Formats: sequence, C-alpha cells, structure tokens
Amino acid sequence: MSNNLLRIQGLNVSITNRSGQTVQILRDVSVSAQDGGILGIVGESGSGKTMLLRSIMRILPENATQGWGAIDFDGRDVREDFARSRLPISMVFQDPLTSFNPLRRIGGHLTEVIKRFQGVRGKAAHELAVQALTQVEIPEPARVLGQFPHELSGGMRQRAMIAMALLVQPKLLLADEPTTALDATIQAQILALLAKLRQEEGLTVMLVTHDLGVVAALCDRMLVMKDGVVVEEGDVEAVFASPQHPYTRQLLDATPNVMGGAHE
Amino acid sequence: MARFILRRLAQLVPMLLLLSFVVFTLIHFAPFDVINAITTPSMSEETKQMMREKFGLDQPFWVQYWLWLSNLLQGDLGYSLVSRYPIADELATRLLNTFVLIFPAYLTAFILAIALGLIAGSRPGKRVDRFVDGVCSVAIATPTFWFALLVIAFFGFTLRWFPILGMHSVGKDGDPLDFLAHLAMPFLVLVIALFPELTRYVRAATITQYGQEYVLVQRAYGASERTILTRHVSRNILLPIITQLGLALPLLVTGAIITENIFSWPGIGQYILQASLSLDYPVILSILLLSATLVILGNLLADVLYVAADPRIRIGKRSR
Amino acid sequence: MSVVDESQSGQGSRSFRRIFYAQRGSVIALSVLGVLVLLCIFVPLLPFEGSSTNLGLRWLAPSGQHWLGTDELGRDYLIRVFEGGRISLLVGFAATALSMTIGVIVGLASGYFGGRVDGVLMRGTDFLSSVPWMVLVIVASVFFKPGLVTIILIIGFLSWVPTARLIRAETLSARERTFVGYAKFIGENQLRIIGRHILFAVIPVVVVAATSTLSSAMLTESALSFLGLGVQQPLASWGSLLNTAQSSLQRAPLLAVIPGFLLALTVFCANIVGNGLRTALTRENEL
Repeated sequence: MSNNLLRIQGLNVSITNRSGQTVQILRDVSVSAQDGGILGIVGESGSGKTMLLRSIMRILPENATQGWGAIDFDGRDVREDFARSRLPISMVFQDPLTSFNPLRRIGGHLTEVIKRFQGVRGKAAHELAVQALTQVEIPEPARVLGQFPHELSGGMRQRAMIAMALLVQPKLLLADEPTTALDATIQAQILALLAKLRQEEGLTVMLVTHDLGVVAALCDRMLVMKDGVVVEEGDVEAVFASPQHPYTRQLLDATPNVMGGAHE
Repeated sequence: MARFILRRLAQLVPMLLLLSFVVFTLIHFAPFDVINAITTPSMSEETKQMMREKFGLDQPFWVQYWLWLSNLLQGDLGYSLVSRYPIADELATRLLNTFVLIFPAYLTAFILAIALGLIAGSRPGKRVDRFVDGVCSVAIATPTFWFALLVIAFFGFTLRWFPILGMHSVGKDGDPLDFLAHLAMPFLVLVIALFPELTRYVRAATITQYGQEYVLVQRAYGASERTILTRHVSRNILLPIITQLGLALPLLVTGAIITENIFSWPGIGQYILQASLSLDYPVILSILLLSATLVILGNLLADVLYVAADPRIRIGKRSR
Repeated sequence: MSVVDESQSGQGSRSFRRIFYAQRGSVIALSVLGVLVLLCIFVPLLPFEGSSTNLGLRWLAPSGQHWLGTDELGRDYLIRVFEGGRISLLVGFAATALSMTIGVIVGLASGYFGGRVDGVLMRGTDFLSSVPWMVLVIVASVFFKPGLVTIILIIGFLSWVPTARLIRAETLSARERTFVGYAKFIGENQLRIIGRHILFAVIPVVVVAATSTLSSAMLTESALSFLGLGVQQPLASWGSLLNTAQSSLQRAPLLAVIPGFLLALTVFCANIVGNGLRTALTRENEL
C-alpha cells in the first residue's frame, strides 16, 4: 500500500521572463504518488499545479530552469537518467480540442505514438489503435480513426486523448484538469473512465483539478498547493476531516457540501 | 465546393459592378474627349459628329455606361488616346511580358521565404532567427528602385554581365539565352523586393504554430523536434501560406511597376506609367479596372484555397 | 503564473520607459533619426557656397571643397542631398499626420458607433483597398497637378486604411472596458466619452501605426518622385534625386548611392523605433 511509484523531493522551478526577471514557480515541492492510487492535486490557478506536471513530463517552457532533490520511479533512483530515458509516464491535457493537431486525423496521432513507443507499424498499429479506442469506450473505433479532431464531440476527443496516453503503455498517468473544458455530464463519464482504468490497468494517476468534489469522489490522497508551495498533503478523508493549513480550510469552506455533494 | 465557388462569384458581381461604375465615372468626367482617340485632327466637325453618334457618345450618361459595360464584357476596352491602338490587344501582350518576369520572381521569393521563415520561426530569438530578421529589416527598408540602380551600376556597368534595358536585344527576339540575360537583373531586384514580407509572414505563422498546445502535447509524447516541424507544424503553416498565393494574384499585373520602368521591361507597369505621364486616361483606367478585378478575384482564390486545404471547413456537408 | 512578485517596481509609463530603454537598438535608431532630421533642417541653412548652378562644375568628384562632389548642374551635392531630405521628411511627416487624422477618425467612429456607421465605413475601406496601392496612387496623381502639396494629399488620403482598421479594433476593446460603460451610465456626452476615455486608450496604437505609416509614406513619395509623378523641379526629394542620378549612373554612381542610402537608413530607423514601441507596449500589457 505504501509503495510509492513516483517520489519527488525538493523540486524547484523558476522562469526567467524577457525583461530578465526570474520568477520562482515551484519552491521545494515534494510529491509522492502511491502505486495504483489516485493523487489529487488542488490549488487556485497560478499555484503551480500544471507546472508540476509539466516538469515531470519534461515539457517546461524554454525559459524555465528546474532542479531536483531526489526522484525515485518504481523503486529506482532515476535522477541521473531522467532527462534521457523515456519513463512510462504519459499525460492528458486540459483541452482535447487544442491538444490534437487540427490537420491530422485521430488515427495519424495514435499510430505515430504506437510506432514511437511500441515499434509497431502498418496494419498491426491500426489494430492497436482500434483496441485503445475500444478500451476508452469509443463507439465505432475504426470510423473515428479516420476522423479529424474537430469532427468528434468534446467527450469523445478527451477519450481519444486518453487512448493516446494509454498507447504509451504508462504506469503513471498525469491528468491536467481533464474535464474542465467539458460539459458536466461528460465530466462524470471521463472521471468514471479514469477510475475504471486505474482498476483494470493498475494505473497510478495524478489528477490536477480545482474541484474538491472530484477529489472527494475519486482520489485516495491529496495535495494542496498555493503559490508554488505544497501547503498540505495527506489522505483525502483525513484532510477533509481536519485540514491543518488555513488555506486548505479556506478552500473547503468555499466548497459547500463537498463530501455529500460529490457522492450524490 | 462548386456551389461555394459559384456563390462567392455571385457575391462578387455587385462589387465588380460598383467598381466598373466608379471607373466609368472617372473616365466620363476626366478632362478629355473620347472621340479624340478615334479621330484625327484633319477630320471635319461633321465627320466627328457622325462618329460621336455612331459610338453613342451623344447619349446620356447612363446609356453610355451601359454601352461601355457591354463592350467591356465583350473584351473591348476602347482605344488609347496616344497610340490609337485597341487597349485590350496591348494589354494582352503586356500582361504576358509582365507574367514571364514576375512569375519566376514571385515563385523564387515564395520558396526562399518558406525556407527562411521556417528556419527562423522554429528557433525564435536564436542567432539564425536574428540574422534572418535583420536581413528582412534591411531589405524592407531598401527602396526597390535604389536597389535596382545599385544592381545596374554593379552588374550592368562595372561587371558588364547583363544587358540593362528591355526584354530582348535588337534582332534576337526568339533567343532564350538573350532573354534570360535580360531577365537576370529585374528578376533579382524583384526577388529582393518580394521575399522579406513573405518571410516575416511565414516566420510569424511558424512562431504562432509552435505556441499551440498540440506542439506541447507532441513533445510530451516524445516527438523529436524534426517530427514536430515536418509532420505537425509545417502542415499547419501551409494553410495561411496558401492563402497568400491568392492574394498575390494582383501582383502579376502591378507587382513590378517600378522594376519594369527602370529596366524598360515592356509590361503592364511600364504601360500604366507611360499612360499616366501622357495623360492617356482610357489606358490608366483600364489598368485600374483590371488590377482591382484581380484583387477581388485573388481574395476569392484565397478563400477557395483555404477551404480546400482546411479539413475543419466543410462546405455543403454539415459538420458534426 | 507569478508567484514571487518582483515586478512591482514598474508602474505604468515608468516600466514602459524602462523596457524601451532596455532596447538599445531602438534608442540608437531614434538618435540616428534625430540626427538625420536635424541635418536635413540645418545643413541647407548654412552659408556654404555651391547651392547655385554652375555648369562649369558638373559631376565633380568628391573633394575638400565639395565633400560629395557636384551634380549635373554643378551644385554641391552634400547640400542638395540634405535639401532633398528636407522635402522627403516634410512629405513623410505631413502625409503621416493627415493619414493618422483620417485613420483615427474613421477607426474611432467605426469602432465606437458600430452598426450602420461601421458597415458603411468598413465597406469603404474594403473598396479602397481593392485597388493595388501603387495603381491607386498613380491614378490619383494623374487627376491632379503633380507637386509637393498634391503628393502629401494623395499619400495622406490613400494610406489611412490600415490605421483605421487598427484603431477600430482597439476602440472595440476599449469600449467594452468598464469605465466606458460607467461613463455612458452616468450619461456623459458621447463625444466626450470618445475624447476622454477611448482616444486616450488608443493613443499607444496610434503612435505605433504612425511610425510604420511614416516609413511607408516616405517610400511611396520617393517611388513616385523617382517615377516623375511626385515632387517636381526645382524642388528635390531623395526620390527625385535618384531619378536624376539614373541618367548619369555610369558617370557618377555616387549621386545614386547617397540619397538612396539616407532614405533606406531613415526608413530602417523608423521601423526599428516602431518595433521597439510595439514590443514595449505588448510587454507592458503582459506585466
């Protein structure tokens, strides 16, 4: 249970803007994601949640610098080859419409990832792509492969994005507010899909959200961030029951009936 | 698609009619008498009056406009006041001459611009980008005619590599080598005049594309910089670039006014300037009409190309 | 994303100035522009000999007496070049002022009133921009007697379209901001709202548009004068000097090199200053 798939300590990220000023985005952040669990990361916009995920994916902006204390992945110290080797981590982004290249078909996106991560091409790759779409419960997968991103509905697009993430064969899935751009009913479906994948695939998930209801419903542990610093971390129920940091208390107060509301 | 084009063409009709009306009004009220283009001073007043009636020049404004418009639609643009030749014939010859000059120049500039713009835009702020940007800044600030004079002084007078005037040497009308030698300097001048704006455009489009989220996503999914450029960014840049091709259509007529005049290239640009210096109103206004028509058609072409190239726009089908 | 606020020092125009001065290129360009303007204003006023024609001194090479030699009528070319520059700059600034006035009025009216006013004005600008610029200018120059005033009017009256579009867009966004809504709510007079709130908001855009209009106006003037449709003898501009120099290009290439170089330098500097202003503006908005 207490096995950590990913453990990061002392992560610092700063960005130098064009006028030469340096702004620290993340300050001494430590995160651990339990194997097979869902970690919820909450905080207001600008608190550094997204930057945390981006630094794990190594897709920080060019003008950013990062420094680590320690990184362990799957029980191994990966600090040395973190920049070089491709760890089994993938990420789902906030807006599925802008996440896809608008001029490439869904199939093109998926087969490219299959070729890169599984070394499979042609017909076999097509088969894998169909499987992945089936896994995320997209109807008529073969037809969807031939469609452009704009031809799908928002929920279908996000499912396709999750399918693309699964084709990396990840152990850890990062999700950056994956339902913010979607309708409320679709949101619930996508979250249910994530929960199902965790169950079936044994995926570990790090879910960034600003919705405490989602955290209460879905996550095992949670992390509260403010101004680039982790202010609170713990089991979801413990944090909800007795928040330690005043900011967490503030967040909980601003969300009425969190525990009840989410389960309805 | 065909219906889209037809609908857009139908929308053009009022614009073109308005344009032709403005041009005709200008002709009508310009300080000259059209009859002088087809008569000689030795003709008697009676003959002139007969010609006037024959061509409907004694009719009221609206009737004349109608006559002019129907002639126009049959390809009859009237006569030059100076040479007394039919304008349409002269325009046709000169259009071809301008085309053989500016088409290769625009194509070269276009390809150069795509290459430079992609290189610079994919590495914004880096040395190569600053270099390309610097070259463009200098080229944009350089007046075309001045650059042409420098080219003539250097390649024409000092090195004596290329002939300075015209399209052909006397008596060598069909000689392709002679033609190419004449083409060299105006071609160079035009490429330098055309490429910087296009390069800036491609560079800006490239930077915009690199700022898109899908590039970030591709990076997260392990795509190499090369894959991102060739498979993803370049496709998206092609779209705005293609529309530039349509907008370039009027350049085929009026893109080389200065260059043609410096090198005495017998094209449209030289025609309109000669006409304007000798106050040959019908010629000037015909070219005005022609070039404005091309702008309007060019915009249509740009729209059509855009629609054809972008899968997000589907005409006729309902998008889901 | 700002976590640590280190940008509190700069407020409004102060940070604007700081960023502008951080761009050394723009400052150098502005200085060069200033020096050129001063030279063009004052050099022809200096009591040098040689501004009169003297056919005995035609096409002299540069010397201690005539630093840039003499032209086809034996006039000192240094003085001649700065006289030409004076006219070029005069046309440039006057045409820009006219163009800005029209562009700002059309843009403000179109953006502020919207609806039918906007429709009519924007159709007009569409129509005007459906004729290639050079053709339009040539046609216009045929219908009027060529000369200094004509060229200013032609360039000014035909170059305001891009400015009007920019100002329109800026006005639209300024109109949406709350203080305009408030001013309307408390019943302030329409013209006063435009004059007080919106005009103030669009001034930065006007300044940036003016630099690019200035350089394109100067390039247009020189092109027209070069083609013989602009400034007429005995007045000279950089463009008409180049026209004259074309015929003696083989004998005296320097006569063509100098005015063209100064023109290119002026346009280049104006563009650099414009870019600097534009960057400074966008960065100030970012901070």
